[in-house]
Amino acid sequence: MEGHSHHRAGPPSVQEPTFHVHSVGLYLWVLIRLVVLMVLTVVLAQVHFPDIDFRFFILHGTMINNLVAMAIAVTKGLLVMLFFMGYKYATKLTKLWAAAGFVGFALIFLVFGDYATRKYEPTPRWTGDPGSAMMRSIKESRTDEEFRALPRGER
Amino acid sequence: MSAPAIEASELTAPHEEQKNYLNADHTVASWLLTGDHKRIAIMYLISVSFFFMIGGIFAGLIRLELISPTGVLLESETYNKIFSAHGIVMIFLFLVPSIPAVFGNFLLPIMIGARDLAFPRMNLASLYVYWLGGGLITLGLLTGGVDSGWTFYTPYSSLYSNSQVSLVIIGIFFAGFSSIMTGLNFIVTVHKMRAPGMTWFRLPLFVWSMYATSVVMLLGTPVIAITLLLVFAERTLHLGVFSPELGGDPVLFQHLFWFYSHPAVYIMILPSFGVISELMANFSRKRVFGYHFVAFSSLAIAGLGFLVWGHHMFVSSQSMYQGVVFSLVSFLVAVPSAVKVFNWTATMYKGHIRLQTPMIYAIGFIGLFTVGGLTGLFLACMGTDVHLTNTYFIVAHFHYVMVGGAMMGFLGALHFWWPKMTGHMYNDTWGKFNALLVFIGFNLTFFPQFIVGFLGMPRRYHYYYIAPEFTPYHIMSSAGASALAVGLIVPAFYLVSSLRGKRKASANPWGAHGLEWQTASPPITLNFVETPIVTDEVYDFSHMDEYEQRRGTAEMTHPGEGLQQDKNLDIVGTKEDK
Amino acid sequence: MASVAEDHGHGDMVVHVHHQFENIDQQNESYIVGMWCFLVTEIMFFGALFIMYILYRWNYQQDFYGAHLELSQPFHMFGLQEFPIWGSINTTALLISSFTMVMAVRAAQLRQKMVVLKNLGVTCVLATLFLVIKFTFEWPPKFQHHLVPGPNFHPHAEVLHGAAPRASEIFFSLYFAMTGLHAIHIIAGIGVIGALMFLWNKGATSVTEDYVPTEMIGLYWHFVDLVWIFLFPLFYLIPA
Repeated sequence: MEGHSHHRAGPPSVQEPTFHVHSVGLYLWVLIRLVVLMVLTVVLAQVHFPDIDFRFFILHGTMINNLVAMAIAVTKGLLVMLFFMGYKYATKLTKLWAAAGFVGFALIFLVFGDYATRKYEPTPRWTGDPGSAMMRSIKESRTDEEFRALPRGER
Repeated sequence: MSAPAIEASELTAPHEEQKNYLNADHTVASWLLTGDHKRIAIMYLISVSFFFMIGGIFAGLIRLELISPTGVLLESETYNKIFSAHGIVMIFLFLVPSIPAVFGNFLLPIMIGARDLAFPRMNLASLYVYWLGGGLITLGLLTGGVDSGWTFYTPYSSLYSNSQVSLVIIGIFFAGFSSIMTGLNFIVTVHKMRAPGMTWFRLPLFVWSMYATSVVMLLGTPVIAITLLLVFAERTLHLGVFSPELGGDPVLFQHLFWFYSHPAVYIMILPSFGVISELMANFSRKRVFGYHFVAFSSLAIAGLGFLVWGHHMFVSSQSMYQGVVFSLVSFLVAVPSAVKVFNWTATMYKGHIRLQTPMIYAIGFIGLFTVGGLTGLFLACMGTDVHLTNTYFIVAHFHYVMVGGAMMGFLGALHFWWPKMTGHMYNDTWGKFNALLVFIGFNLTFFPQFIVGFLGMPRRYHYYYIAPEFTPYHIMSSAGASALAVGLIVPAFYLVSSLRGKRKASANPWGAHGLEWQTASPPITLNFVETPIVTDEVYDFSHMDEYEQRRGTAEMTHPGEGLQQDKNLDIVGTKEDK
Repeated sequence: MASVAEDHGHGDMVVHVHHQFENIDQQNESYIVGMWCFLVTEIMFFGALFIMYILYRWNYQQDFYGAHLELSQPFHMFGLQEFPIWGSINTTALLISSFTMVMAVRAAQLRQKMVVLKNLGVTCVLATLFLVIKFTFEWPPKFQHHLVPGPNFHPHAEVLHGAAPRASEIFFSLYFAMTGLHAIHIIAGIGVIGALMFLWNKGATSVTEDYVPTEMIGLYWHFVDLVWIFLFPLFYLIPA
């Protein structure tokens, strides 16, 4: 294994970097599209879409609203990522790691597999409070006797 | 650390005391403001060992308490705080950082032929953030501790617990950031800073496993950061997203918590896998069998590890159908681990095995990790898990993989790279017997726990007077714990005393392969005098046989004979002073 | 990697290479990849919150709709019922600030110090505008209407617009958590951009001779904008 000279004892190395400068017009083009999409998403959020009946399931109008809103948000996000953040012109390594973030995010969606396949019922309330996330100490909760004294409907 | 006067003229060192990273500068500021990854690694080593000792003290208290069925030493709430403290300190302050922050930091740049990590200042920042997190956790434990378990299940931890949950959570938050910074550094370093000729498939397997660990650190740690932050917010700002009174779902906390905490166990074990690969190859003097399989299995474990978290929640009212999916993937993730174990065993076959201390730890690892992994399969199966969950079976399982696996890997790494890091050689006989003591003590501690867990002893209970038949198992376990404790304290003595001893290590005392063994022990600050160009494959022992083997054995068994310096390699051999 | 730059001849274009790197392209790419890796952690950080939000919205759709009406103002023109004016102004402000940020990066590539300072300054101003709107027009009304989760959460029925109080408390917990966390990132961003402006003003070579530090901060800022692009429809534009 032979060595390879990189003397560190001299002055620090200085070199010319290589990079690509884009035009102002490109960025302005992206900005205009972003603002247009924003206006569009605000307007479309209030459009009342009709329910579409596929044979085996019904696509509710509100679901279409959500899909449209998310599609527009994704488009805006892609515009920001590709052009403002330079993803389109980045090296392969940069693209790999940028994409990895979203892949990682997609992994958490597996959580919904749980909620989609069981009947998720929020816990019926067990105190008289109308519901507030107050920190309680165990002493303040009701004792067993009090609990059993309540009629069934109010437990 | 001054070197004794070097007598022989065999050495061509121009000055008396070799300049290396340890004696490059002696001021405190030069250590605390260093960018040198090696110094940072040494500071991590001291910190991690300190927290290991703290966690070990808590473990001792647990085992003391469990000797008696009625729990005479501690009250229930105190016991809750003790086992929570043991878990938090051991996991977040010892196991997660240990091998990456100490050996990854020290060795990764050297193994790939770089002068330093990609972001030295971020490396230093990760150390400070670790100290901050560790300090906050310690403060929280000293001012009352937490009694929610290291798992912080809501709504107990967010609403009802009267302990220092908030403070400890902030400490864990910072410790997590330290972990993220380390992982980020490693990823960029491995991608961008390999020496010429160091292709991906010439990387030592330690580097592959560090890379896989870093991927998991990067993707997983932020999720627990936000989850714990939300628990903190629920305690302090009343933002109740996990509280059932509002219709929130406590199981959601468990989903998000385990989404990190399961990959976290892979953060803890993958570096050990890398260490064992190195030890197996070098002490069998043979290329690791199926190098590509072992390399890709690290990545597979990292990837699949993100898809199995629900196996911690089989009995938590999680959907049964989702449980089936998690169960299946949990069985799948055992496959790459098994691939590694088979490949290491095959590496030993027909190798030239030398049973020195690191190898004892490595062989012990294979046995203990196999037991831990196989018992994990019982837990991956939903049906048996219903019986075994929340019992001591689980405790035994994870201690087999964490202590028998990750900690043995840490000790093996410590003993293997100690001469490289410090330039001194310890007494190998002490090391070997200590390894045996650790192995025996460990098995005596944790094997009875499998049995008593199967028989029904729940975990996190400090009394079991309703089942006094468990007592013999607990007594065996506590006795083993004493032996294990001795086995873990003794290395501190012979390792530290080796620093003051006169047995200096050559650049390659083990006759091992790898770029780190081509540079001085301890290395100079910039690691290499000249950037190496890699031309031979990894674990290629064919060229080294002629002199390395003699060198390695000579250094170990016939100290003081003086070694010739090889002019082709950047090695500083020293003559031992008697 | 990148092709040769178009206009490149502005005097000395050399950049100091740090000791651990071999050449400037390796250094630059390392910094950019490193920044993206940090953004990956931020994606996971916010991602968990988005997952929580999606879960609760899926389970409490009607309640979330009722509660979110507090974030908009009634607006009966062009066939619309309500218009989230403050949210829209904030979104526009962030989009424009993203534009000025990328213009600052471009100017940094061309070493045009005054253009950099101007664009960074406008970015800061817009970000401050975002925060001012949030903390004077958006959050205080919630405090006044007792919509802050916790022991003081007792809004009147008309403020909830028909939503159940418990589910609304979850909505507002998520609202404050997510917009609060985002606001913390904006505050940090303003601080960092301010520091960058200070260094550019001083002419420190660490930022003037190489555009990559400015680009790294630009990436962070665009990420903050990206998160808001998704927060805005999720919180402010819930369909009936």
